[in-house]
Amino acid sequence: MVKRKSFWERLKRDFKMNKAIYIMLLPVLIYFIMYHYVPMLGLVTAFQDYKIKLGYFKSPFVGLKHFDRFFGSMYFVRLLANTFAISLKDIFWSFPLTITFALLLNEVGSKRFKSVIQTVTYLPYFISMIVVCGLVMDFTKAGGMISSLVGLFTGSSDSLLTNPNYFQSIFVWSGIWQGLGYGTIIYISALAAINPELYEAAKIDGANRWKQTIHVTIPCLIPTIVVMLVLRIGSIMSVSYQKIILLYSPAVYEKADVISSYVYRVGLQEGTEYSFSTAVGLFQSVVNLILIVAANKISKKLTDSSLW
Amino acid sequence: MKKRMVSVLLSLTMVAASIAGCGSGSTGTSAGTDEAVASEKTEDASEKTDAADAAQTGDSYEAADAGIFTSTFTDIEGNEVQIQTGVQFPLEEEVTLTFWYPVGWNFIGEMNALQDGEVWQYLKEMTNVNVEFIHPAEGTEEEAYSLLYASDKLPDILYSDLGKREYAAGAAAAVTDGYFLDLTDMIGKYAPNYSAVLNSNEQVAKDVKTDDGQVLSFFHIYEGIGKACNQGPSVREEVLAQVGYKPEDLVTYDDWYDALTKIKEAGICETPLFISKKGVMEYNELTGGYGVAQDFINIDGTIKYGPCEPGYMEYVEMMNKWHDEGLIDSDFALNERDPEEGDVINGKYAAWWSYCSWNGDKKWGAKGVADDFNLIGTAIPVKTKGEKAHYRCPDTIVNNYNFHITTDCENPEVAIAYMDLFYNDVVALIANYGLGDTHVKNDDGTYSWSDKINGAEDVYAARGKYVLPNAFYENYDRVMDSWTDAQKVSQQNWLDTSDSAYVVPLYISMTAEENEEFASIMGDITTFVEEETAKMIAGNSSYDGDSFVAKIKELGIDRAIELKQAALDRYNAR
Repeated sequence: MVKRKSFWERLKRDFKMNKAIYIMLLPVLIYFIMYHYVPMLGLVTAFQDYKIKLGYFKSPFVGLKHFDRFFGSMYFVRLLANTFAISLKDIFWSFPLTITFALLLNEVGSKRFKSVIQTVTYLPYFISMIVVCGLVMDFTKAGGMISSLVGLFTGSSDSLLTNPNYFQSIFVWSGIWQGLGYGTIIYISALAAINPELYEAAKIDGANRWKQTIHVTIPCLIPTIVVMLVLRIGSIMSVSYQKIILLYSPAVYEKADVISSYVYRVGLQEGTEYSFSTAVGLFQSVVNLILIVAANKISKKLTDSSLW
Repeated sequence: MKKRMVSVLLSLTMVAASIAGCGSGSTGTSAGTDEAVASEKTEDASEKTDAADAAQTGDSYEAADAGIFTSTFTDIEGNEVQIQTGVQFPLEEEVTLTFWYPVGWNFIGEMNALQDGEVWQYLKEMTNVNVEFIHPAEGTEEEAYSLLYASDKLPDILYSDLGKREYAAGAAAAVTDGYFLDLTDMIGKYAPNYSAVLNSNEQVAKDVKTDDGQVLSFFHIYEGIGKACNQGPSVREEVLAQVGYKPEDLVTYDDWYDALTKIKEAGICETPLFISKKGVMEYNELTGGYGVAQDFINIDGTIKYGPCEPGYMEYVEMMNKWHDEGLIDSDFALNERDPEEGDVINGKYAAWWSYCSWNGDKKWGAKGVADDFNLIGTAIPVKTKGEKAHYRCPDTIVNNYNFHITTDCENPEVAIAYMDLFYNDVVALIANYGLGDTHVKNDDGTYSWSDKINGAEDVYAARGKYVLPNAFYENYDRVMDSWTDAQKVSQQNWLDTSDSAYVVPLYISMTAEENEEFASIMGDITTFVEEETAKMIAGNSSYDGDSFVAKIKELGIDRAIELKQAALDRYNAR
């Protein structure tokens, strides 16, 4: 039996063989080191009273002060709950909808019709957030189009957006309206990669369209779905603060105020509290990391496909 | 299968990379190099300060007039005059100063930036100083201001705004942290005119100088008696007339209630009264009669927090009633500080807050709301006739706008001497009234704007082009002279019926530590008060008057009051 060469020897040999590929990798590697790993050193500011002019080394070290302040805030639990609620609702609705939509698109026979549908559903994604929020606001304020439609059934066309009970739904559904088409891209490319022979074999076995979907398409999509889901779970704590801030108002803080919007309001708008914002950001990242690792483990156990 | 997996992963990495690139904005990157640059700069600056010290006999600006230069300027009539300046103007070599200056874009009109205005061009000719303005996008000023401190290089001159746009830990801390120059010792040598203004008026000196007697910025100061209150509650006179009221009939809250109800019932306006999402008007115009504000108040030198006072709950209960009867928007919580243009044009509101310059047939009237549109300022409402409200927009001599010279400025003495020019009578006159045919001379020797400004199709753009929109040493008469009768009556109504005794002076200051503690207490309290006020007005809050106050106390308002009180005491002792 040939003795297995050490890692470095193998790397060396591989490097000689695939020099060009390694050189192509280099810029990406540098990018990640420069912009994703070096900045991580900045996390130290979460434990300091950071002042830009003093820098990392001279700013006083204050330990967990900023974490204490955040965890001690009367709104901590509410912020956490809202962040989770909005993210989970978003996953619950947008995930299956995107997949269903991709499957439906895949079944469309006419190429022309399909590309029209795709273009139309991609378009909202490219509208600026602030414009989308302006539209949402106009439609859901008192006497707005959607409020009035709702009013036909309930008898009151009061503002939906200032009603805490509806805020999260408005947030999630406007997001689906905007992102549904764009979200299908990755599934459609995965669908295109399915080997046509599988369908032929299924047809020969007498499977109709529905059966083909159940037994061929979906099993082939599972790895993509799982990877997307694991990634999405890894960003549960990060709700787009821009959109929240554009839509919320004091009347709906109770359901709308999430960690990022709170930090923006308290830390950035009313001052330059870099350390406090970093501490909260660090907390968010840690929770996200735990979630993504856990989700990955679970999916490995259940479905055999995972991110790593 | 395996291969497909890889391709999926690859495409995902791409997506993830782009997402990660957008998302991680909160951690700084280049602080290491910043630091080196910063310490160099601070050294630089302190050297210059030392030089200024040495050149000057006294230890404060008061005693100094050594080393003052005399420069030749053209005055408003076109004659050559000699004026005192901090450096010899015109400079032999052109110096460029960058000036961070948020400006209403209506003043910019067809110009690219403020420096295209005639007064700036005139000054460039006189001084050989080229000013380059940096105007942040409208609506993002506060954010842009906060972010300036995270950038590599500050502009030379920075436009701060007390209470709105300031260095979070206070201007004194910004000096210690190495952002702003301490001007205390430098204005004696380089700012003869500003020194003279400070020396001429005790109140001005008290407001401008910090508790430690430092001068940290050039304040926007009004000449003479200053600017009287110029904003307050206003109603559409022609709408009131339709239900048989005159603006002067609106004295008490009950009068307002009756009038608004009639307007609503007559179907003239959908929701007659506009309030902002905070549940109050811009300057708490409607809470004054209850002796409170949604802010700290100052009752004979004692600081109190408005929402904890009994009057606040009376106000909220009244608003709740008005909300239920449809006198205010059911979704007022979405309202920004001004009513939306479309809503005003559609005649949704009969009353809102307004500046004098927007009253009468100005601003909204010009947009075709109604032919006889006439917005008139009315008394700050009170509980019973004969009372006087003590909270309104205060009369001002020293304004909240102030201008810092930063440590990144390479020619601080030029920047100081340049800013100082605006406090010179000759230049101030031009800054206020412009050059050539933009002004007319009155019989008593004073000036007024000519029709080139007052009669312009776009008055704001004309002001931006021909004069300084906010002259740093401003004669407010220039604005008042241009007012119509409706505007003058509006201001008189506010002045006659109220005073600003309860307003906490803007010029009080806290130390960096106090500021930090104050901010960390008030973060939650502000959120709580705004949220529960909006909900109580809408009638779906789980708090009542007692538990509301108890909760604010629990969040530590007493300590915040203590800190504010200490700052006020120090101010009063200046």
